[in-house]
Amino acid sequence: MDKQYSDQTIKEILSAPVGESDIIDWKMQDAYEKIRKMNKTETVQKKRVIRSIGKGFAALAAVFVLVFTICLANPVWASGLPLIGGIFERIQRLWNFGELSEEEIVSLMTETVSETETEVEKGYPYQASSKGYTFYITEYYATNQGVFLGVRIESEEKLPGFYEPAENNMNILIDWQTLEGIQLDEYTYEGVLRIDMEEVPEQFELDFSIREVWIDYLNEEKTAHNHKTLVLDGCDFKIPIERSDKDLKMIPVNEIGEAGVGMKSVQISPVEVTLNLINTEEEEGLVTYPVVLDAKGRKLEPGSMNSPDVYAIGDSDISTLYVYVCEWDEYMDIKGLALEEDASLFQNALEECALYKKVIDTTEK
Amino acid sequence: MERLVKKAQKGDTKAFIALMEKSKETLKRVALSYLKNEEDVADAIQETILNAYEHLGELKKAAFFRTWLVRILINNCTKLYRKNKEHENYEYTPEELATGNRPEEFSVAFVSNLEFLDLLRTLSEENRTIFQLYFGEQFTTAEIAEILQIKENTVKSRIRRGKEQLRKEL
Repeated sequence: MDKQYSDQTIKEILSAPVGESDIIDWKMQDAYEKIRKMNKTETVQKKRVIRSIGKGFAALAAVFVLVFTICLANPVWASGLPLIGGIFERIQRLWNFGELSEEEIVSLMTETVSETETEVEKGYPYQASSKGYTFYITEYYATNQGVFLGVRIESEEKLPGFYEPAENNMNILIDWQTLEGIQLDEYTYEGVLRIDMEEVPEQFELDFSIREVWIDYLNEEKTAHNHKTLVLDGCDFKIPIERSDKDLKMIPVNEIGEAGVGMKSVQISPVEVTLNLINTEEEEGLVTYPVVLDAKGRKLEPGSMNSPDVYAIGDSDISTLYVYVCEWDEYMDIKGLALEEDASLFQNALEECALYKKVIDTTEK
Repeated sequence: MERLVKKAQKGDTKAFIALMEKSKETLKRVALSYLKNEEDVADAIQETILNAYEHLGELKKAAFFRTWLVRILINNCTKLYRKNKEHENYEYTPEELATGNRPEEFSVAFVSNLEFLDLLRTLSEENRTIFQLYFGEQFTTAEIAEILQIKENTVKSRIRRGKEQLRKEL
C-alpha cells in the first residue's frame, strides 16, 4: 500500500461523496411519499402559490391562440424551432409519461412575420432571469390534474459538472419538483415540469414562480454526483392556460368494499391515470396505499410527487388496469417484491393483502 | 440549514425534504461506515427520515439538528446490525476492493468511491463510525460522545488507536 493517511487526507477521503444507489434513492422517495400523504396541508400551501385564476385571461388568450394557430398553419415554422421550443417533442423519448399528440401541446412563443413575409421573428414572452440563469417557459400541456410546462434553462456560465452529449448526467429539481429533461450543451438544460393541481379549470392564469433550483450533476472526475442549489428572485410568470380535454376518458366505478375503501372513478389522459379513491375510515386512522398494475402486471410509477393517486402511463399497457388499495403498513411489508423480475410475485402479494381491488378494462366504451 | 429546520418544524414538508436531501451524503456515509449491505443502508436511511419527520417537533434547538439526525440514524443502524448480525460474516478487505472483487451486498455504482471504502475497511469495526463522524462529518468528540452514548475520553482514545492502526497497516 502506498498511501499516507494524514489527518487532512483522512478528512478528504471520508467527506467525499460515496456512489449513487438506486435502492437508497428509491427508499428515500418512498419515505417522502409517505410524509406527503401524512401532511395534506402541503397541497393547500402549493395551491396558494400557483392559484390565480381568471385574471386578465381573455386578452392573453387571444395572443396565444393566435400564436398556436400560426404554428399549426405553418408546419415548416413549427418544426424549425430547434433553438428554443419544441421541448415536449425532444423530451418525450426520455420521459416517464406517454406521448402527446402535437395538438395537445400549446406553444407560448410568439412569431412575427416581416413585411416582406420572408422572415419570422420569434418572441419569448415567458422568460425571466436571475443570478446568471434565464428561464424560458415555451409551451404547456394541461390535463385535468396538472399542468406540464416546457422549461428551458440557459446559464451565462457553464453548468456545473461533466457534460457528455446524449448522456443524462444531470438532474434538476425546481422547487423540489423534478424537471424531467436533459442537458443540451454545457450551458443549456431543458425539460418538462409538472405542476400539481387538484382540479384544473378550463381556462385560468397560472401564477408560477421559480424560487429554488437544485442541480444534481456528475463531477468533472466522473466519480460521484454533487449538488448545487440556486436561490432565485424575480422569476415570476403569469401564464394563460387552457385545459385540454381531448382523449380524456372517465370510467365510473362508484363502489365501496367491506373495509370502507373503494373508488369513485378512474380518469385516463394521454399521459396519466388518476384514481378517485374513497376511504370512509380515514378519520378513524386507516391509512392506505394504492397500487396500479398494467395489463402485464407491471407497476405504474407515480406521475406526481404531491398527488399520490396519479400515475404516469409511460410505455405501460393500460388496456387493463389492476387497482389494489392496501393498508399502509401491510404494503410496506411487501413493497420490495415490486423490484423482483417476476411481476407475478408482487401481484400475488397484492391480491392477498388488498383491502380493495378492482380490475378495469379501459377499452370498453 | 437552521432556517430550513425551523420551517420544517412548522410543518413545511418541502423544507423537511430539502433538509433530508442536504443531509443525504452524511446519512449514506455514516450508515455505510456501520452496515455492510446496501439494502440495510437504504432501510436505515428510510427509517431515519420517517422517525425524524415524526419527532422533529421535539427537537429543542435547530442548531442541534445534525447531531440529532445522525443519532437517530445510528440507532436505526444498530437495530439493523443486531437483527442481521448472524447473517453477516463477510469482511470486506482492501485487497478485494483493489482486485474489483466486491461482495454482492453493494452495487458497483454505490461503492464507486473505492478510496472511501478502502480506508474504512482498514479500520476495526469499533473505530469506523467514530472516524466517519470525526473526520468525514466533522463532529466534535463531545458531539460524537453524545451521538454514540459513550464517554468523550473513549472517543478520543479510539481516534488515537485508529490512527495507530492505520499507521501499522501502512
